[in-house]
Amino acid sequence: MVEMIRLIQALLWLRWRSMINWVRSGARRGTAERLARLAEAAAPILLAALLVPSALGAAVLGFWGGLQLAADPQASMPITAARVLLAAATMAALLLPLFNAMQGGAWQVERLLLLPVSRASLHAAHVASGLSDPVIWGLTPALLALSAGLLAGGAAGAALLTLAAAAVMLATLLALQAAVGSILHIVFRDRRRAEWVSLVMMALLVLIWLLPALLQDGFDFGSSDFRVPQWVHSLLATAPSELYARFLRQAVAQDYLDALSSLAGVAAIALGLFLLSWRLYLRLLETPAKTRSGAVGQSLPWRIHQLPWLSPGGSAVAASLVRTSLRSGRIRLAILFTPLVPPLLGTLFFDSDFARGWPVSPGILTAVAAIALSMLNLQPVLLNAFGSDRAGLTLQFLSPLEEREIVRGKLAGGAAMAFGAAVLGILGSLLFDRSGSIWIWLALLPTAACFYAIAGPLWMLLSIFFPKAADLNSWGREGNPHQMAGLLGTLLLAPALAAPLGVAALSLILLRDEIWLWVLLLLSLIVSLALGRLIEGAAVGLLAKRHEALASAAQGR
Amino acid sequence: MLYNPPFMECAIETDGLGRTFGDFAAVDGIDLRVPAGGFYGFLGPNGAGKSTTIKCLTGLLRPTSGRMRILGLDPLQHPVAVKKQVGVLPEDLALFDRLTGIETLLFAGQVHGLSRSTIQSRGRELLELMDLEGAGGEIVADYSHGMRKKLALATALIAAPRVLFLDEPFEGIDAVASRLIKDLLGTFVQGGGTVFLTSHILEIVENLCDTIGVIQQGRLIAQGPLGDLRSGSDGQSLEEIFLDLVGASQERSQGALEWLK
Repeated sequence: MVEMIRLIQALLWLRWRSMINWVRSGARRGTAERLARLAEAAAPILLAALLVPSALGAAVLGFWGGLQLAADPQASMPITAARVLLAAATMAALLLPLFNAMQGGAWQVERLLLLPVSRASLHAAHVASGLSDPVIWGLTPALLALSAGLLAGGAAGAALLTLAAAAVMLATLLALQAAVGSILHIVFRDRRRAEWVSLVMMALLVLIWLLPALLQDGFDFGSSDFRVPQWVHSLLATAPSELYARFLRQAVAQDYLDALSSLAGVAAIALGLFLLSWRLYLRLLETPAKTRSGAVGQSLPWRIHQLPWLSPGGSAVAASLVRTSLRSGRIRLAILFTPLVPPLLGTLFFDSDFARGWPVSPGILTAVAAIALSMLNLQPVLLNAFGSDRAGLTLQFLSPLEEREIVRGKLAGGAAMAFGAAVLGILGSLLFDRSGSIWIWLALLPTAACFYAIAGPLWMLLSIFFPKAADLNSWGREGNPHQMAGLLGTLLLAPALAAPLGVAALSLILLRDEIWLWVLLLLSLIVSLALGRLIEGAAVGLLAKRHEALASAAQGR
Repeated sequence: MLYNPPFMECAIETDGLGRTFGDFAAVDGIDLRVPAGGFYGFLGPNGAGKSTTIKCLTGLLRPTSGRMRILGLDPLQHPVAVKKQVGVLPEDLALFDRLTGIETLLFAGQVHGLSRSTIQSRGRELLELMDLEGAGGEIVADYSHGMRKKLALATALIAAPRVLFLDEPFEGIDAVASRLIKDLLGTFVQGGGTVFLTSHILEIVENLCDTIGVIQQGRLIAQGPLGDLRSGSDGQSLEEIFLDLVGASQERSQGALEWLK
């Protein structure tokens, strides 16, 4: 026990010092970097500050529920609230480790094995680390206050039992979280497998989001024909939240023997999960991290891509940006899911009167939305075109490349991905709704070009100002661009889109002429390209000045 | 103990080269003279300024003082012209994690303006020589440290540079790869190339290098042909000469950490 407490103390100290040193090291990188780091470090503190009122609120509700149950053992609302709360906490215990694993990659368990600490203590510390989970922080006061409310209401026996049940329930959730975490990290020890699992999970989440729209007309859960199968009912009845609800009902009815029996059921689940998590944790400690994943292609062609208007060096930079980005699950998903956006938006919004009165068809409107959304989804690479190269950036700086070649190469690589996604978005819209003039459909391409001509160089400028070593395969903070770049880049999205869309609206609403639409769009494209060239020049100048800062940031220093 | 070969013979030359970080002088006014067509070993204890010097010479860091010439050109004024003739194996190996070995060589060849056929023939030869021909289609993230080092060296060589900067090329690789790299560098120097390398493995430096420079706390404390350094040292090995130069005495370790006994 002492060993375990010492270990937890050491790990907490390590995390604290790492955060402080990380903030301090930002002091060498100027005010913007210092502020961004402080903001990032302040996030968990703010979260903790927000948790305090939430925990207090939960405690008040728990106390009130206890009083209600003591006064009326048949009161259903507190028991239903406990069921829902505990079911949500169980779902969180299942899902949160998944999101953590997808964000942070595999645990470095080899380092833990080097510590002079027994495996049992390591496992205990691993289970106890779940106490830092916000869900547990919210749940614990509610469960304890429920017991206090029962005591205050005069139900001393039930109060004592619910106190024990609170401990058992928390142990169950911690063991569940630890077991799920271990399973996921065994899976994530294999880098390629981790990438695929993350990709599939994100795809499933998007599909779950789409499900209501897809089922809107075809399936009615409320109809009398729909029945949940009996085995689902039986399975759900053994869930810890259901067992706890049954226990609570029996405890407040002073049916202590049955209540203890239900509580024993929860305790048995907790013990089973703890033993399972112990076995899995041992397995995790013995599973070597696997990074090798076989060849992308054993006989890859020795092919170079020479892009028009770019030097060989610029073309090489563009090709490397596209290749490295498309090998990350996050960017692949961002591009591949663009064609699904129009049908979703179409089903959600354009089945109603909302679609009427627009000068263009719903399909064209959804295509515009899909293009904007794809640009937003590509931000991890477009807003961090230097930092996402990591050590590869040093190779570019060591190569005989002019700054302009690097910037243009990255702009061209970003354009290739952005336009690929835009074309997929347009195709997705055509599948949903083909109405409208062909000239307006075709005008979507110069519209996207107008947008990228300005947004691309602006994002490049932000990438140079705020670089961050990022792993594009990570779905969380590790893969995101610098906070400041993300914020400013998103703010710039609207004005950059407003110009070409304003031109389109002017020609279609006021002038009501497709020829004018094309004339104005082409003029707008020329102006955008000229403006973009000016911003590109600024980016080139800034790159020349920030070589050292970029190389250092790309290496994560 | 400082040596000055005639100006025209130098592939790399610096005068008062310095680089500071705040108040700290990582490189403090060094005058390097690296003869063309030779093997120059740049030695120094950890944190002496070796990697910072290489970074200044290869354009990754901007010197705060002094001047440099590589193959007669100032790399600050003609960065692209200099980089076209220089190959670098940097400290962090500088590879894209998510490019394959072949794509990495394609990138390096294309930025040097080589044709596809030249990249292909040189790349195949290099991969075969480095024993990486079976791994050419794998992404670099899947490579072992030794494989990455060999690929980084192949990347530095593909454009047939005239000067090679190698930061710890023998660190973390096995004896077979080490032998392979030594042979390869020997061939490179025989062909008229110049190698500027840092290494902590003094045995290798002693066998390979004909000229040595020693840096300590940012200052160049010795420079010259290995034979000259040896001549005044009663047949000492390079390790003994180096330890004498940097003032690492045995007294420091004697009597220390009594509790370890």
